Amino acid sequence: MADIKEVTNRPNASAITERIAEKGYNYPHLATSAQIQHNLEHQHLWTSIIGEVISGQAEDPNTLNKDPRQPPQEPIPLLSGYPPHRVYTHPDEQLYMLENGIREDDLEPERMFVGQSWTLRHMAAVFDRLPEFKQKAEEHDRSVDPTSMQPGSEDPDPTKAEKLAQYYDKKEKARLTKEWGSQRFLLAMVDKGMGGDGTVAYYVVHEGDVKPRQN
Amino acid sequence: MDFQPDLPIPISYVSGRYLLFSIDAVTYLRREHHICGVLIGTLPQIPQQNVFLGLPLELMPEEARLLVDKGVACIVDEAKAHDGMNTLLEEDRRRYLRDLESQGLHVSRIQSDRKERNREQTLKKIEEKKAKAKAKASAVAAAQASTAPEESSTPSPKNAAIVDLFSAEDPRPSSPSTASTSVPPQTAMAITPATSYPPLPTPSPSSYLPAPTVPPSYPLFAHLHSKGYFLSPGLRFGCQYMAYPGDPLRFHSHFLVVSYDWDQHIDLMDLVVGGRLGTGVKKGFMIGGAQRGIDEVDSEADRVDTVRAFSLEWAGMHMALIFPRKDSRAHAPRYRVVLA
Repeated sequence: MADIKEVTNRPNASAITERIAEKGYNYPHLATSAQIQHNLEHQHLWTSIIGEVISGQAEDPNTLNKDPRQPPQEPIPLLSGYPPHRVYTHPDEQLYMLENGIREDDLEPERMFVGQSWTLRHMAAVFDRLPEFKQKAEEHDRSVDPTSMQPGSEDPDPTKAEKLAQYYDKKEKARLTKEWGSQRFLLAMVDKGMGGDGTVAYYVVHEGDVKPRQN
Repeated sequence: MDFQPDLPIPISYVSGRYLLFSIDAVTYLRREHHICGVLIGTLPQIPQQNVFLGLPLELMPEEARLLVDKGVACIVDEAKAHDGMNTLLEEDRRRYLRDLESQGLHVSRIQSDRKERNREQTLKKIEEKKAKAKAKASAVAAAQASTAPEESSTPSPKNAAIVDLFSAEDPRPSSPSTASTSVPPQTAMAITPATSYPPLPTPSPSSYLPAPTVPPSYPLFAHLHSKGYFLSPGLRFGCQYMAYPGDPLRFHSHFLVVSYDWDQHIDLMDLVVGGRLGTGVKKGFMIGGAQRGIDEVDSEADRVDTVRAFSLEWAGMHMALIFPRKDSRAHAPRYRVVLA
């Protein structure tokens, strides 16, 4: 009898569940963001993950009367970090890299933002606040490692270093003209419903019309 | 060749559909205003042949509305516009029929001219061949003296057969003298005009119908159109619109477009479905909408300016083999996760 009792005992909660229970979040989707962070860190090997929260407008319960540019009622959690590989390369940027013999491994890692959203208002709010968070994240990076923001300084090959410098110039220009795509973030979604297996799927979301990759 | 129709172009409103019957208007709108519509006309005798359709061109209400708002087109009630057909004066009627007949004569003349030219060319070729064969035959005859006299006669029946073949449409025996002096044909081609405003007057502005009512997705449609995209109905591809970066005859589409209201809940499953479908066919999945509702502004045009759109692509980041980069920054991972 004792054996059977042992078998029917509930198994221990997973590390992530314990962590979420320990922290106690005000909103369910903030807890979800903890799960996303865990997934990014341990399954996708992202590093230096930092979190931000776009605070909601809790005092106004009626979203319909609101200015459309205002953020939504609920806070939107936003994560950022460094993926081990680039998550997204614009098709024109890829062409430029191919033409100039630049490989992905030569480039500095890029900080990528991860958020969740469920109306157009949420998405717009994320994009509106993205530049601010990017700046904050850069400050954070400098405080952690002051030399990390200088690209390719220890590169032994001078022609490659020059090409890379040209590439970064071009990239900065492309950022302004948006020819290599506009602002983007990763939309994370977790399968938590009935029978959900906790799988996290990611989608790249661009602001405006960015032509698709031909992969 | 670039035909410039009189503006505004009348769009025929027939039982809830917006139709165009003039091929000149159709090509003009496609060329100048990036409006493609959908050809829906089949042949009355073979309606099941629906691979290549012809006139009329059906416009989405969004397309018709856009053209009306731009002042390029107007909506005309087709049934009402044809009331005038009954009261057409006998003289006008006769003039119209005469006009049609003269057009028909013109067409048949052009056709017979072309036929005549073809025939002359063929005859000339045959003559040349004959001359060549004769020259060859005489050369052979000269070389071989009189060894095989019947061989030289073989080319002529062959040539006669060719002449018969090409003059099959013309029962008269072909000879160089009659070919040059053929009489013009008496029968006019029957012309079936696609539009009816030569006999009817062009509709007056007072008879125009109001601008078409459009679905809530109109602002996104107009926004993308203003950015130079060609849009077509997206039902075939599981979305609201397909957005092409140029003429659909030359380009693959870039986006599957779905419109949402500003505070409308977006089911994440719809994003997965659209995002995966789009990525699977090398397209982006675009969602968007106007920030303001129709009751908050004076006109649809005001909403178009407040449109925000977002394009989605699958990040391809799950269930993949993941290896750390050699120069991965900060805390280098001490283990690797391998999923398959």
